Amino acid sequence: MDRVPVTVLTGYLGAGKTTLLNRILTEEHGKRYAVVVNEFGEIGIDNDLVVETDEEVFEMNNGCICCTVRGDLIRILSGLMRRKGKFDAILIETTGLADPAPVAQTFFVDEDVQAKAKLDAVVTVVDARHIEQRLADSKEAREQIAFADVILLNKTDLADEADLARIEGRIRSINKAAEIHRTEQCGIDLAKVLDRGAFDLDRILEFEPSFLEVGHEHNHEDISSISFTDVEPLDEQLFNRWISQVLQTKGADILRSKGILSFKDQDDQFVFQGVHMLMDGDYRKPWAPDDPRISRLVFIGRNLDVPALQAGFEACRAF
Amino acid sequence: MPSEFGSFQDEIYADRLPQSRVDLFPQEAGIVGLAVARKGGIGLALDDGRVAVGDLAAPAELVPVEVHDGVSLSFAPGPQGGFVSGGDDGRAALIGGDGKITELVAPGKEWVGAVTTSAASCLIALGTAKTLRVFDAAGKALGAAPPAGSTIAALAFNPKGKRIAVAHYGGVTLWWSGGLTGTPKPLNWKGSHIAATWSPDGRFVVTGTQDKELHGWRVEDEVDMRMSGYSAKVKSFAWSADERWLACAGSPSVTCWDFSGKGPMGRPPHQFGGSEEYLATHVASHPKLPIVAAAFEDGRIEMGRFGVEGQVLLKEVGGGLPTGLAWSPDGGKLVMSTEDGELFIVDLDDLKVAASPKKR
Repeated sequence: MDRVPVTVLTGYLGAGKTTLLNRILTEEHGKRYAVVVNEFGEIGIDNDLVVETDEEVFEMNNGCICCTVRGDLIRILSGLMRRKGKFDAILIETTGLADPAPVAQTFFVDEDVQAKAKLDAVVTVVDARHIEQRLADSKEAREQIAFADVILLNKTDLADEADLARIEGRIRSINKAAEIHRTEQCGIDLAKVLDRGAFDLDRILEFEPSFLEVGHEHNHEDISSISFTDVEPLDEQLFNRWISQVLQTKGADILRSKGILSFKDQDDQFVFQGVHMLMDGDYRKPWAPDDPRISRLVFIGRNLDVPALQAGFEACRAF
Repeated sequence: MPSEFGSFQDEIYADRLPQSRVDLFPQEAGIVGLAVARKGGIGLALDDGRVAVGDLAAPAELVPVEVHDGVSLSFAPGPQGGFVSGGDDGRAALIGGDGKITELVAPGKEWVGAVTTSAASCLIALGTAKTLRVFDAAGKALGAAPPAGSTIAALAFNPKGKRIAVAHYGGVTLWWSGGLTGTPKPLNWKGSHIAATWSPDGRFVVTGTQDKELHGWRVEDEVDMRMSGYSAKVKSFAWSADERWLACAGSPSVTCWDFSGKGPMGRPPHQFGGSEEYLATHVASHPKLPIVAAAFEDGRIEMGRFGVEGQVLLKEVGGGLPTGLAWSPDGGKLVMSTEDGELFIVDLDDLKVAASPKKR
């Protein structure tokens, strides 16, 4: 059975999440959505199936210090899955102050959710006029950018080109793996937001291939991202051992990790993603015959020890 | 586990079991809940919000009635016949064996995620979001508790139906059921508790947790018990007819904990199950014999005997993911429902086994 795709909408208060939500619900795309909102609120959401939630964040006892999940989402997603055939996809709107980690981790931790639903993408709506202030004073605003697969830089009509370029630079220094789209009133081709497929890993393929390039710019954010590429095939066992060890020891600081990897003697791409200490990976599709097989890996987090990560990644080469 | 009775397969009439018959009664919609009424009626919660009721003796003639504008989330036999269903439309209703509906809670935005009933005290308990509500067998509201700190995930009455265990994040709260006016007793344990059962001797409350463990409390002195090693969340429990064993789903093998004497701590469980890959989803104890049936993810049904090695296959693979498993009150029939809308009835009319091995 196909798992139902779930799109998570985040963004600071007033950035335009509800506008995007209503756009998704009213445009002609032939899809039926179940919508999970934090509050029904004053702005009406015109949809058959709207569920109100209460952000019950649960700690897990699995020994993972940063492992929290959204108990309400486990319950709601499991409940919704009983309504077989009543909807094609699920949208989850979070409050501006919500930490995205427990939402994403829910999809890694709970077997019932995993069996029936998959996280399609985290979409973060950013208010071009206020984002710089938000980044300065709000941990949540920075984390919502760090967790994003797709970022809508919204209200571009309220900022000039120089501002937008500067803001994009700051967003990129936090999260270089996300796609950024400039929008006014969240006007965007919805195909760029929905059905992105598993955290939008294809974005990683767009990085310029070069031999073990380390991309890391100094920046003033507390969260940054680095990426590695390698044209040499990797050893699956070595990689799995290394990445497990990295996430076990540094997972509290690593918010997101994603990769598309070329393992020795494997014709399929190995697609990997992680949230804090939790990770998940499998073979997804064959490498195209003419394309170079290049492994790519991204970490987004705090206090990333670039030389150590680079050395660790290099040591995964197969010989 | 060696046994003075030899293996279960030898014991349970290998020459007779192939004659056990499995009949299929497909429904018009997927089945999300199954209950056999205490007097033998059968109820199915369908995935389109209807509840089908009828007689176990005539399963081809179940009559569906409209109950939910949505789908049932919690389903149980009524305290004196009929069925209770709570839905994601906020509605909870008592559905008579004749299909007559008595509304307990009117539709609203709070999901009715948990229901349990007691034949002993003739009470119905519901969890509507964070609120515990109690009703009598006729559907009259008797009381509501102040909201719990988090959503109620599961409920269990004690054997006399005088107390209710409410499972939620952070543990269990025990309420006296009459009007819910007494002082509740918290049994704390970190984590999210998603399933609950009360032992038939009244001594233990056991929960299944989000962390794939069982947690138990001896009610008398609140001594904690922990039983881990499950592959999945344990959502289905069954106590043996002789009250000694607790069988649990949640692993490829069914685990049966021995609660005789000092209890299960420090003793390995008895396990049975014929697959390494597919998890047991539901367990159901025979009402009279020391036998437990288990449904598995691949649609198999197996039957094991508490404390005796081995198992017997009652139904082959297939039919969809199980959503319920129950015995008829006389133990002559075993019923399994699936997500795909298939209802299987295993006819075991003259099932007999020797009495349970002596307590160790």
